[in-house]
Amino acid sequence: MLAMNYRGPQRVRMDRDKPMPEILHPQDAIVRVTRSCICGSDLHLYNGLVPDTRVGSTFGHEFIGVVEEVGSDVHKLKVGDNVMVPFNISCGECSFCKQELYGNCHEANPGATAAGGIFGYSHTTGGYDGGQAEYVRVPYANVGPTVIPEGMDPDDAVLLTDVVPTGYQAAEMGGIQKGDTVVVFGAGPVGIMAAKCAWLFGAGRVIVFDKEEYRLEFVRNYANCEAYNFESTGDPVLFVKKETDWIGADVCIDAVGAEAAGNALQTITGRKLMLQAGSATAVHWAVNAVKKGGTVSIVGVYGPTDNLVPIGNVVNKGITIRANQASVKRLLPRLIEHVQNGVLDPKGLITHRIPMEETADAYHIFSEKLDNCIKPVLIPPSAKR
Amino acid sequence: MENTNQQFAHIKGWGIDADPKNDPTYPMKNRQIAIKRGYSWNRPEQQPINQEILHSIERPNVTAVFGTSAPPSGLSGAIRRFAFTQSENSYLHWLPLILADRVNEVEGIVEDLKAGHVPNIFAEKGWKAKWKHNPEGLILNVALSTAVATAFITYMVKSKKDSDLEYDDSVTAKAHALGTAAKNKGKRYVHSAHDHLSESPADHVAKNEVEALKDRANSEISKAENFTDKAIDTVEPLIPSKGWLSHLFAAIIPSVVK
Repeated sequence: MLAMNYRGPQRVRMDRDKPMPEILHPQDAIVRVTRSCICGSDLHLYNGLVPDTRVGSTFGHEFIGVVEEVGSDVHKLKVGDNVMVPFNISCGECSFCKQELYGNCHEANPGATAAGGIFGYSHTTGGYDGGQAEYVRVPYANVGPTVIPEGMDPDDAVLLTDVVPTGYQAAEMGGIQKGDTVVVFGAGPVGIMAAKCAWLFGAGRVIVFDKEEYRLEFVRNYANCEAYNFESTGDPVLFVKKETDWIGADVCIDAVGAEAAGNALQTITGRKLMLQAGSATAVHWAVNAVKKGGTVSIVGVYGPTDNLVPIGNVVNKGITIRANQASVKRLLPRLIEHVQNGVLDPKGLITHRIPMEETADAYHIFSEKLDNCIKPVLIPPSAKR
Repeated sequence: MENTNQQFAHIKGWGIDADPKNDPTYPMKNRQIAIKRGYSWNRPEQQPINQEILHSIERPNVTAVFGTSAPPSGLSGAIRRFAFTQSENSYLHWLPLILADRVNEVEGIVEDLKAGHVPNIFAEKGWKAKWKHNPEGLILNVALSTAVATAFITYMVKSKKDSDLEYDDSVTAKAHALGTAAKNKGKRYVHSAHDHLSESPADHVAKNEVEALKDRANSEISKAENFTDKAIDTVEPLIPSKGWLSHLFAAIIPSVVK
């Protein structure tokens, strides 16, 4: 089958001879992929920032498809179902899943207890092959995969597997109260969705920072918010202080993670020399821009080692930090409702629909922010069957 | 700030998910759900373990399901095995894994070549898209890469020439010294022969002795010349290893040993 093959930092290719996935567990399903995305967090893998990313792996944790085969213990899905597959792999039985922390399942990732299982996201999250392929093995098929509601656009459905829940949970974890000023660092797909969702929780003002003008223009229109280029405003923390009557934002959201720009020290030590687990510029700014007693919500992805973060300011300001991988299964019912009611328009984020055969080019376009790319979707040849 | 639904009427869905209780500055954990403590739940059926699965030592077992992509192999696999003897809390877990990833990249190229596949690095890097959407960037990349490669090669060649000179100077001086010593030794034999001859010119035995000493002197001189040639022949092929890498190691190793 056709599948993406990671060969090293910034080197991926599509192979046509990857063996078909097989049922390896009674609760497995095999899904034929009909849409697959490249996520901003895939770029951390692509750039070699996540430890234990092995050559020969297939990335991709945002995908939808058709159930082709089910294991003997799968009773919630049947062959032929159109399903959206949350990026987290969760058993539904462990104490974390029972608390609806589906992103923190303890029975899906042997490689690290600190992370749950994720499709196509290195052996640090379980060593699963991902959805940038024609077929995928989906474990715990009774738990995560959700049948796509009749009439839902597949482009909306594929973004409900990660981008929408992650952006929504970023706003939710902010504990936004009516009238709050919310600052979002990063105008990638997740940051844009976080800005959009901040309004649903009653934000009074939403401010987004990025350095790509086309993304700022996009988020202004898509999320009805203010958007500023931190290369023009100067120190974004000072800018936020001035804009909030010298108090700071009520809620700050880090929607960037390890690839952040904007601070030479962080960039050199985090992204170039890899002396820390990526550049922590966004979380640094978030901690310093939030008010005393405010909340910092982190959905940006970092590696598992360490980062330079002003933890002293967290203590002195009495900041609450909330962070997690989105609990997709918990959020899906509400988010499906929002999409069906027209409150959220996920497919509006998609700027590029690219044949899966051209995945290497798609990675390059997304990584280098070429051609005003916001969100690329890969269409596999298997989508047409 | 007071906000009303009317004020945000232009934003569809404004405030529909607002939750005044979700204010995490204060304790808010919901303890209504009865959760058993510890690793005490009924585990799902274990996926058969038919390949090597490295699992964190912060858990007692392999998770009920796991991915089967790219099992550890080769040198990178050995490094990964070591990494998984350390806890997730240790740099000795994560840093070797990063090292293993880089080693694995080289193994991937070797594996490709062994399978008769020459990797198209440019295609893998998506440079077709770069050429289409950012040709100036591609040209700049190529120009910079060429400049860096040229500088590197120039440095290597210069380094080799320098080490040639160093080699020439030191080996020639040494060989010259040894040759001179041998010649001097030979001369001493000759002088000794002359002295012997002048002391007893008619002595038949002395004449034979002189001839023998002359022969030994010539032999020593010849040996000195041979030694010089041999020294040069032996050391010369080793000159490339005296380039920048050996200088680097020479600089690093003593500090590491210390």
